[in-house]
Order: sequence, then C-alpha cells, then structure tokens
Amino acid sequence: MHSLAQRANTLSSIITTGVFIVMILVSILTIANPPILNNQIRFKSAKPIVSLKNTRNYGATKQKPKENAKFKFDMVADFNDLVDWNTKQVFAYVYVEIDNDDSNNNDNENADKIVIWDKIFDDKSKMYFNQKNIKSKYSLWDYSPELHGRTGTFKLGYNIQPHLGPLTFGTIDLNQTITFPEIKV
Amino acid sequence: MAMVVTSAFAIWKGLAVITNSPSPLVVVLSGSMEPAFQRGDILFLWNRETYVDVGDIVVYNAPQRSIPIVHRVVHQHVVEEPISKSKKSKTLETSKKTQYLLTKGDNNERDDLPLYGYGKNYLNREKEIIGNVKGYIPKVGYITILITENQYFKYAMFAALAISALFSQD
Repeated sequence: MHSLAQRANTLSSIITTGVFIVMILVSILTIANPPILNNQIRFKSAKPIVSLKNTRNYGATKQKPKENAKFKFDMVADFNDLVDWNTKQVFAYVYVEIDNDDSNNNDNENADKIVIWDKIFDDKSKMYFNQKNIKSKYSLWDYSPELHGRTGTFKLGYNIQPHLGPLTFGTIDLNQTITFPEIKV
Repeated sequence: MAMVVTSAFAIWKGLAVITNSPSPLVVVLSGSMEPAFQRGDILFLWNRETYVDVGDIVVYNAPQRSIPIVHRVVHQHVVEEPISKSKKSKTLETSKKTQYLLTKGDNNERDDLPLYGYGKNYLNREKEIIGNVKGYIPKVGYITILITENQYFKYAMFAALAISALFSQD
C-alpha cells in the first residue's frame, strides 16, 4: 500500500517539522527571557609589556614590524546567572578596545577590538572563576603598527551556547583603562 | 519528485534573499569549534549586519579552499580607506569604511593566519564573510557528511531509491 519511499519521505518530513517547531519554541523562550549577568565582575590588570615583533605569528613581517602587548591580570567572575536548562557551555572572553586616533572616540563600532584571553565553561557546577596572575593567551597587535601612547579599555564578552536554538551574546565593561607604555628593550 | 526539488530550491533561494547570505544553512564539517559545534551540526546564518563583533562566530570561504569555515572572530578593525579614483562612482564619498577580521577556532591552539594564505593578514567582512551564526540544531546534518564522505552509504542510498522506484505502483 505504502511504498518504501513514501514511508521514508513521511518520516523525514515529520522529523524535520518536529525539529523546526522545537527550534522555534526554544528561540521564543530564550528571546523572551534573555539571561543577564547580574553580579559584578572584579578585574585588575597590571601594566602591559609592549615589545616589537617581526614575524607573521605576531601580525608583522620583517620589513614591517609591529608592536605587540602582553598582559597579566586577576579576575573573579561568576557565570552561574547565565546557566539554564538549555545551556551547553558559556564561552567567556576578555578583549581590549583600543581608541582610534580620529576624534570620535564614542563611536564604539570603530574602536579596534582584540581578544587577549578566553575560556570555555562547559561544566555547570564550575561556573565560578577566581584566578590571579592570569597570562594573556593571545598576543595583542593592532591593524596599525604602533601601540605605545594609545589607551585601551578592557571588556568581557560572553557567548551562551545552547543545546539547541539561538546563541546569546553579552558584554560587560571591566572598568579599567590602560595606556600602552613605551617598548621594553 | 520534481515538485519536491523545485520547492526545496525555492525555499533555499528565498532564505538566501531574506538572510542576505548565499548559503543560509551550513553543516559543520570540522571539529575546530568543539565543544561549541560538532561535526554534523546545522547552523543558521544571518548576514545583514554591516559589521560583525569580536566573539561572533562567522562562516567564511577561505581563499584556495572550497569548503566554508566556521570560526570565531578574535580581532576586528574598521578602517577608513580612500576609494580608488579609477572606479567611476556616482557618490561624492572619497573614502569607504572596511571591516577587517581575524578569526580562530575555539578548539585550535592559535588563529587562522595560516589558513588565509601567504601575505593575507585579515578577512574582509564584506567580501569574504558568508554569514554570522545565530542558532543551531545539533547532529541533524550528519547525513550530508555520510553522503559526501562515505561512498558505501551513498551507493546504499542510491540502491534503496532505485529498488523502491522499481517496486512502487504509481
């Protein structure tokens, strides 16, 4: 009565419809009730160390060296607020916003942003983070070759990854501004 | 059968227009974003923002590689560049803002510079980014990986289709 192809077709269409309905429901739930990080994050960075690099691994070439910066910082953060039944992991990252030379500094979109550290929190019982003297994981270099004299602001970003459905993003100002020092010889 | 194919094609192209992405759904092919995305996860893309932000997960076509790569943005720069005079543009603007990005896979030790090819230090947001990942469904896309990478599965599927066509009564 029913051919194999018909059966397969019906089964796959039921599965697809089901998955899409669940996806839409989860998306509505997440968007209606977005997770927000309520508690304050404590962050303190020491003065960065700037050095001149001339290899591709640091965004430079032999002919065009670039100033790179590395950091050491302390951070206390609690990501428990972000976790709900649909959370697979929280991806947290610290980045530096470097002010541009052109006067309109308020324009956030135009600030250079560079990630210096990240961590994946995939265990729901270990969402509290408290560490001292963390070394930046990634060397910081900008599009333009010079760093010294410019100012940078620290921000923390997080990306909540669900088991299924939409990704959620958020940013928190870490309330610290630094000025990049002269190159250390 | 023709109906199914044409309507699937129409839905695909319609989604492409809505999302402004040539490929609005993407199946993850590598483990470089684990544990966020595994092989076979289906990603929903959106490509209407002028700029993407650090932390966003984007899909791009790397030069010299035919497969799309799904990685996270770790550097973003908006650079104002003069428009070359050879192009006759009707607008009066003499400069154009371009966003340059550096990406990295969560599961990779370091950034994607080796993937970009020699002499290329950044991705161009407008030219190279196919879309920004907004949501995902785990594992469902694994069937496309089975079809493309496992020849026995492919032949078995063709055989099953052929046999069912022989025995169908319509």
